[in-house]
Parts: sequence; structure tokens; C-alpha cells
Amino acid sequence: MPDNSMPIIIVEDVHKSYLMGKEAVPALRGVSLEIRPGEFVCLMGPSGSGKTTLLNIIGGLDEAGRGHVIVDNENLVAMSEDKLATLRLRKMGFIFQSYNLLANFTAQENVESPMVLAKIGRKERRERARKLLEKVGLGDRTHHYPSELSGGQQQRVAIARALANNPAILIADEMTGDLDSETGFAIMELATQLNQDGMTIIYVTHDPRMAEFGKRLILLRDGKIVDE
Amino acid sequence: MILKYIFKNFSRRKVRTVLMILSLLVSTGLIVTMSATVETVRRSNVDLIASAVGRYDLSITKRDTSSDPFISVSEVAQEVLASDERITAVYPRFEAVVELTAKGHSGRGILLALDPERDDIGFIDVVSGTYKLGNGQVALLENASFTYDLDLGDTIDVSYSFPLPREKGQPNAAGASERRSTRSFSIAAIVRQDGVTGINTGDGLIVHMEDVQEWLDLPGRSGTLIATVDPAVYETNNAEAAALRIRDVVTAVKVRLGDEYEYRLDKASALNEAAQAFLVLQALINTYGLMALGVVGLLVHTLVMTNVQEQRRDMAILRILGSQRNYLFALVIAEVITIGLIGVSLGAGAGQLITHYIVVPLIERQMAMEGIVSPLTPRVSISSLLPVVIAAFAVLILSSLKPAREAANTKVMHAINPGVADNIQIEDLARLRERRPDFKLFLGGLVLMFIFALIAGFQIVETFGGPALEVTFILLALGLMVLGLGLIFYIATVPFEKLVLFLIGLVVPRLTYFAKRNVGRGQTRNTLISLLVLFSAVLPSFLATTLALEQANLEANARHNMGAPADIRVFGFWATPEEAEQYYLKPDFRTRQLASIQGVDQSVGLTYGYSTDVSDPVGFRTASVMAYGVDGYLNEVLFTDLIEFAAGGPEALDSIQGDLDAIIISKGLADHLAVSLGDKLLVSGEGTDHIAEYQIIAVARTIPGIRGIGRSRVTAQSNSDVLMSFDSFRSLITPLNQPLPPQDKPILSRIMMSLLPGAVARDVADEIGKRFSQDYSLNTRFMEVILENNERGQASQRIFLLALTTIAFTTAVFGVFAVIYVTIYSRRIEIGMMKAMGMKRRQLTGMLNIESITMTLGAALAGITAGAMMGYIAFYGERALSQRPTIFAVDTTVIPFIVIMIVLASMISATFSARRIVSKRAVEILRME
Repeated sequence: MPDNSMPIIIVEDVHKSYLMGKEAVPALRGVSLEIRPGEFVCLMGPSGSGKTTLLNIIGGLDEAGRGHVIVDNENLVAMSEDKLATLRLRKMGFIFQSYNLLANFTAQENVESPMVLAKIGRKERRERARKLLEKVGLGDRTHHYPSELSGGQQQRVAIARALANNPAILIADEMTGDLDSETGFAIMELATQLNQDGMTIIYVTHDPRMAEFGKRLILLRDGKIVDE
Repeated sequence: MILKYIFKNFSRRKVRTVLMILSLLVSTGLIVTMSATVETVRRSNVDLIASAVGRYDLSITKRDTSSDPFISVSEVAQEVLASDERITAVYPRFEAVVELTAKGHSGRGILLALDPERDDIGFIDVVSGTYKLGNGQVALLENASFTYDLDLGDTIDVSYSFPLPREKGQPNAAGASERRSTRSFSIAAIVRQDGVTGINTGDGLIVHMEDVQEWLDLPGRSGTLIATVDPAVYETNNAEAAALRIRDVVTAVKVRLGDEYEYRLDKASALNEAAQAFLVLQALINTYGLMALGVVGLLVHTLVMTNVQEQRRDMAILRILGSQRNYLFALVIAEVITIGLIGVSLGAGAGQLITHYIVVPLIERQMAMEGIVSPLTPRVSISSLLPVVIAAFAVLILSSLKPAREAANTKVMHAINPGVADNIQIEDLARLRERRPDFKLFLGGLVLMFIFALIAGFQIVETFGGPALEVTFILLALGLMVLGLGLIFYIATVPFEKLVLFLIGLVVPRLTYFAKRNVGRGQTRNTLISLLVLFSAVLPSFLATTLALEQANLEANARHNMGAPADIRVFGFWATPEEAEQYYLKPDFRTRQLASIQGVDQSVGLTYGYSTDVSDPVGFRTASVMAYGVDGYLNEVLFTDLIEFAAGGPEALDSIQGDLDAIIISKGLADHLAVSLGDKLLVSGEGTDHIAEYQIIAVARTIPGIRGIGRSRVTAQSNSDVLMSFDSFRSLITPLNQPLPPQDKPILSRIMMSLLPGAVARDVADEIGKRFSQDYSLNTRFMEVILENNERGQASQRIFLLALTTIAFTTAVFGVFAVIYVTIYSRRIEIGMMKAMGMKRRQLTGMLNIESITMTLGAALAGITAGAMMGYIAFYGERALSQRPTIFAVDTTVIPFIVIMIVLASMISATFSARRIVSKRAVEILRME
């Protein structure tokens, strides 16, 4: 259901180019969009359309060449790297295609790690990590290392980790890309459940079946939004 | 083509190439510097020796038993020249002790006669006047000009006594010389000499040979012939071999001239001795050098392996184009050799420059501060460079073999499907990476230590002899000790890492949370780098701990050994008691002559040791002992705080003086004979049936200065001392039914003394030397002087140790850098994720720093523990065996230096290696995959 509240993310005329050798290759050419709290947005498009670039710029992982990106009333363009890191820590959660779990940390410790950075006390973070792992269905895998978990389980740990500091926004880049269909669907169902709990989710996918889970679909091509 | 490819690679991987070249430059530079410095000091030492013993190779004199003490110059010189073709020149000399008289002063001095037109041995430094001898003109040595207050144009009278031949078998010539001749000479120059003669020329003068021959009526004759040998004989690195060649030459001369002459080859002997002293030094440098190169090898191995894995696609394309495996293998080897050529050449050059412009001037300054003025000529010989260069290239080639094989095994699939290309990791070290130290390593360490113990304990080194072999064994033993201890103590790295993490965690708990898990569980733990850091720390810690203990115990040692603030011992060579009497001192030497020396306070005389047997009253148990008579009150001179009695007390040391039946024995002897205070002992005296009975008035555990008083029962069975009164001793050494020797019979061999407050030891020593050196053969020792000399020696040793530690750890820094660099590179995705998660740049750098510090410091601490423990065990063991108490000490120079160096190295390595990755945006890092 569309929300009439203030947008949590505002992207205004964002341009971004990458240098390939001596030549600048445009990735985004004046993208503008607004995302309100609680939306479940899917970004789709062919390879090189700029969807991951847009996702990274919204997440403060990359910076826009031109334009404005406002997340929860804070303009990312004017922010220092340290402030961006703090913003990501407090307000965003990230999920990547290849899970990117810390290999030497158990599932519980992986989930705890953002909370350590956020200076949350040991007792509280352990309790919260345990609950999050239970929430993603891994309550019995808390002390397993990533190498002892399947791909789907690893991605669930990554989701639990992304939720560790109660972020307002969950950003996911091809989060089902490395998973088989069945596991992929299960992960998307988990995301849907999180969205139903009120979390804003923006995700990128190639897979039309996964795109169907989103409540708002944005199509990009050649660095521009072509359809919504 | 190969070179083009190599240089392109260099420009593509500038950091790695520069790192490899720099590590080679630093390691070879430092090793060359150390070797060249030792070589320079060694040669300078040889030069100093030559200056002291004379810059000639052989001196020939007539034996003192010869009826004619003079040599017929032309005849004998011809014979000498003909005896060996390596003899290049022979010069006549006249060197004798004469009496000098001038301006109312008289004293002894040296008359040195030579022919300055022909004899150019040594250097004459003219202080004033003209160095022109002949016609009654002489050159006065500067010292004599001060002693006799003489100047140019003054005259000096020289009296020469013709020597009397000594009868063979007799210690001295009978009677005194009756032929004595005196002549006045005019002083034409005041000079200093360097290496002209080996005779100690304090006061003396140089006269023309012809003047002396005319004066003493000895035409065509001389007292001495000196000969020089072709300098090419010395042109070898093996000083012993050079010295033996000189001996061959002298042997040939002896065959020609026969036994009527005496032959001295002081320069060769001194050279040989000096070379021996430098062998251990060189062995230490070699050990450190090998360790340093080992670390460089690891660095090169790691970086080249990384290069190979990165270039795999290029190599696969070359394979598709038809390259042979050998070509790819050669490509890697050639790349490493090129780096080696650049790095080693620069290092060798840098080593020379550092030696020339920094080290040698510093040593000269240090020597000047100690009063030694001797210009050093920096020596960087091919022979000192070559081993370093060969070792460096051997290490380089060994370390590049595996990467080269990896390159040669490149499959074409790497180009067709890049997805199969290996990720960049230090997988080549995978076998040596593990979570916990391997028990096999521990066992390996035990085996190596066992072999070390065999070599050190059974003194194999001395069994074989030969300096080259000796150095090899020392090197081998040191190497085994380092490797063995390192492997044994590798197990300690984990607890040390935990300790380091705990301590860091107290300061930065959040970063330690991450570092702890990565270090503790990480598969990137690198056993090899941990072991190398550990190995690098073992030897310096061992040597530093030993040095610290030695220093702490220096004074205690000196006090224990000497027993009193000063002592005088007679020295000489004698075959019979009658001969010995010439050297021993009469009791009145102590009470009159020594007492008149200013600064001497109390003194006690000890007789020579009389070797005899003691037993309990019924002869149930016996022991061999050395009996000493005491003349004086020991409590007045001994360091009383070091005296320990098991029974009786210090008063016995004084009361024994007047008690003819009393004896003081050691605790060990009392235990062995099962006797105690108040019991009787039987001591065998001189002659038949001479058994003396004494009562034990004290049983001592330690009496400083008396070595044979100790606690060991085993030692006491055959090697214990007993003390008795002076008169008891006189009685003991006299056969029964014979009168006691006269009271003034010289039987004292040692005098222990104390000094008056404010007395300067060196002044007292000088005074004793002046007063008694002509008439007695005495060796005077002052604790104050010994301590000063020892402390100076220890300071030099510490500097040397720091220099060696710098070599080991400077290269360890590169090893740490290489491993950290590759480790961080292989963990970039994880770093990217942590950054995405919200970790700040400085937090990431901090975390990597903590990991790096923990890994290397844990290993360094394990190495320090290993080395220090070995040092303590060795030192305490040796002290326990010698029955001496030990003062505990901790090194406060080298070990803190190691810790600081390793922490700095880790921080610099981690910060520098992480710099590029952490400065990238998270998304850039994640895209790098």
C-alpha cells in the first residue's frame, strides 16, 4: 500500500561515470526517484544498465558524480567518508550476492559484528544476534562457521547481520544470484516478511521471478529509468 | 624478449619490485657492512700488532748459552737469504738493555742500532731535529727526552755490559759481566718509532750500526739479524695458513743455521692469535646474515608467487602461443635474478659506502676516545663480498624455484576460462599455515637441540681443530640452537598472542574483538613468518641475556676471583723447587717493601700451594688437597661479605695465623671425609713418615679468592684447598728430622691486599711496577682496573649485539611486510564487507595493525623467551658448577629493542599494506573480486 509519508530516500538527477582507461563511460544519466518508508523496491535492467551503481549510491557505498542523494533527511553527497560509514552502520543493512561473511567468525559473531562497531554491550548483542538468527531460521546454527553452512544458510546469516542494528533500509544486490531457485524463493519470502514488518527494502535482481516479490519495480536501461 | 617482459613486469608491479630490491639492498648492505667492518678492524689489529712487535717477520739472535753472543753479519745474512727464496731482506741490528746517564739522572733503556740507509723497517716520526745517525749522533726516543729532560744537542752517556754466556742447564749466568763500555752520544733528533723494533722502547735511543760496531769493537758483527719475507705470503684470508708459511720459512733458516741461534716470529704468531679471536665474531655475523637472508628469501618467495598467480593468464596465453614450460620457468628465474643483480649490487655498494664513510670513522672516534690513535683503512675485499653475494643468490634462486615451477605448470585453460584462474592468496604457503603449532615441529626442535647439545657438550669443535672447521662447527651449533629452540618454543606463540590480544583489548576492545578472531582462528596464520621472527629473536635474546647476567655478576665475579681489592702473584717457569725459589717472595717483601708503597693498606701473604693428601685420623677416607700457609690476617683484606662458613666463623681466618695445629677446610672436603669442626685431620708432609695432625677450626663454604674452598663433595675428593698458618706450612714442607727453613726463605707466591681510602689503583700499580719489575716477575691485579676494562669490553659487545640484531630484524621487517601485504591483499573482500558494514578507515587500519602486531609480537616474545631461557640455563648451570652464587639480571637493551622493532615493523607493514585497500570505497574493494 503506497505510503503518503515523507520519502526516506530522494535521488535527484544523479549522474555517474566510470573511467575506462582514458574514456569516461556513463553509468547513470540523470536518475531521479523517491522511496518512502516501508517500500519494497526492485531495480531491474540488463547488464550495464546502472542498477547496481544506483543501489551503491543510495547505500552510500559509492558517490554520485552529480545530483543529490538524500537518505533519511541527510544529504549523502556532502558527507565525509566517516559520516557515511556511521550512516551505513546505523541506518542501513547490506546483503550481497556472494554473502561476504567473515570467514573466521561464527554465524552468531558475524551477526554481532555490526553491533560491536555500534558499541552495543556484549549481553545485548548476543541476545539480539541469537534472536535474529532464530528469525532467519538458523537458531540451531549459531556457532557454525560460514564454511560449515550451505549457500542459503550463509545468505540468511548475511540477512541477519544486515538487520543487526535495526536499520531503516535494507539494500540487497543480487541476493539470490548464487542460490538455487528453491533457496532463492525462501530468501525472498524472508525479505517479504521483513518488509511486512515495516522495513524499507531496495534490491537488484536479474531474475524476473525474484522481481515479482517487489512491490515497486523500477526498470533501468543505459543509466536511465525507463519504466516504473 | 625475456628482459622486455621482465622490465614490463617491474613497471606494472612497482611496489613489489621496489620492496624486493630494497630488502636485498638492506640485507646484503648490512651484512657486507658488518663483514667489512670486522675485516677492517682485524687488519687494523694486525697492523697494531706489527707496530708493537716490529714490522719484520723474523729475528735471529745467538742463544744465551753461546760462547760468542754476536753474529757475523755478512756470513750469516748470506746464509739466511739463501735458505728460502721468500726471504726478501736481512738487516743487522743491535738491540740491548743499557744504562743511560744524562743530566745527573741514570736508568735503564734500550739501545737500538741499525743502518738507516739500508734498514727501512717500520716508521720513524721525527718530533724535532734531523734524523741523521752516525759519527756519535743519535736519535733519542721521545719518552727518554722527557725522563732525562734532554733536548737537541745534549749528550747522553750509554753504558753497555757485555753479556756472559749461561752454562747450559743453569738458570743464570754465573757471576756478573766484567766487560763494560761507556760512550757519550750527541742528540741529533727526538723521534717516535712505530714497528722499527719489537722491544718495548720506553726509554731508549737509536744509534747508527757502524757507531756501535766501532764503539764496542765489533766490526762486521751484530747482536741480531732481522729478516723480512715476501708480503705475498700474507695474501690469504686464512691467517693461520699465512702464519704457517712463515713458520716454514723460519724452519728452512733453522735447518741452515742450526741450533746455535734463537728464532722469533712474533708477527706471525700475533697475527695467528688475532685471527682466532675474530673467528667467533665472523661466525656470529654469518649466522645473523643467514637468518636475514632467510627472511628475504621468504619475502621474495611470497611476492614472486603472488606475481605468478596474477600473471597466470598472460602465461597461459604464452602457452597457447607455443611457449615451452622451460621458457616460463626461466622467465620467473630470470626475473628474480635481475632483481637480485640490482638489489645485491646496490647492497654491496651501500655496504662499502657505509663502512667507508660511517662505520670506520665512528670506530676511529671510539678508539680515539679510548686513547688509541690508529687510522683504520676500510677494507672491503672480494673475499668478504663474495660469500654474501653467493649466499644471497642461492637464497634467491631457492626461493623462486617453487613460483617458477608454478609458472611452468600453467595450463592453457587459465586463458580460455579466466574463471578457473587462482585467486591471489598465499596458497603456496598453505602447508605451513595452520591454526595450532604442530607437535612434529616441537619434536623436530628437540632433536635439533639434542644434536646441538652433542656438539656443545662433547666439544666436537675442539676435537677436530682447524679454524675453518671450528667456525663451521660454531656456526652449525649456533644455527642448531636457534632452530631447535625456535621449534620447541613455537608452541608458545599462541599463549603469547592471547596475552598480546588481551593487553591490546584493554585499550581498544572493539577492534580487538575482530582481530582476536582473525588471529586466533585465521587460516592466514603464517607459520613460516612466525618461525622466522621467532628464530630472529632467539640468538640476540640468548646473547643479550648472557651479557646482562655477566654484567650483573661482573663485580661479584671479580670479587670472588680476587678475594681482595688487589693481589700480586708471582709468575715464571721453573722445573725444580730450587728454581722456583728465584721467583717466590720472601715474607719481608710484604712487610717491608710492599708496605712502603703509597696507597697500600693491609696485606696478607699466601705461600705456594703444596700438593698433598689428607685423611681422617684413621685413614678411612683420603683426598688430594693443596695446602697454603697464611702470612697475615685474612679478615683485613678479604671481601668479608663473601665469606661463608658451614662451621666456625670468620675469627678463624685470623686465629689460624698463630695456631700451629689449626686448619681450615672446605665444606666439600668435610663432607667427603665425614669430619666436622674440632675433629682432627692427618696431612702428609714432605719426606718419609711425615704425617702432621691438625684440628679443624673452621669449615668454609666460600672464601673469596681461594678457589679450592667450595661445597662440592665430588670436587673436594681431588681438588680442595686447606689453609694453615705460615709456620705450619714451613713445617709441612720440611722433611722430618731436618731443621725448618729460615724465616726469610722465599715461599710466598701471592699477596692479597687492600688499598687505603682515596688510593688510585692505577697509580699504585704504576708504583709497584716501577719499584719491583726489575727484580721480580709479578702479575699485579686491581679489581677497580679489572672492572673498568670489563665494563668497557661489555659496552662494545652490547653495541655489536645491537648491530647484529638490527641486521636480523631489519630484514625481518621485510618478511613481515611481505606476508602482511599478501595477507591483506587476499582478504580484501572481507575488508570491503566490513567497510560496507560501517567500519571506518582508521578502524580497519587499526584492526589490521592489531592482527599484525599480535602475530609477529607473539612470535618475537616466544623467541625472546626461548633465547632468554637458554641464556639463564646456560649461565646458572655454569655458575652452579663453579659453585658461585649468581645475581639475577634482565637485559634492558637488546630485548626491548627487539620488541620495539617488531611492533614498529608490524605497524608500518600493516598500515602501508592496507593503505591502498582501506582508502578505496567499499564498493570498489568488493568489485575487485
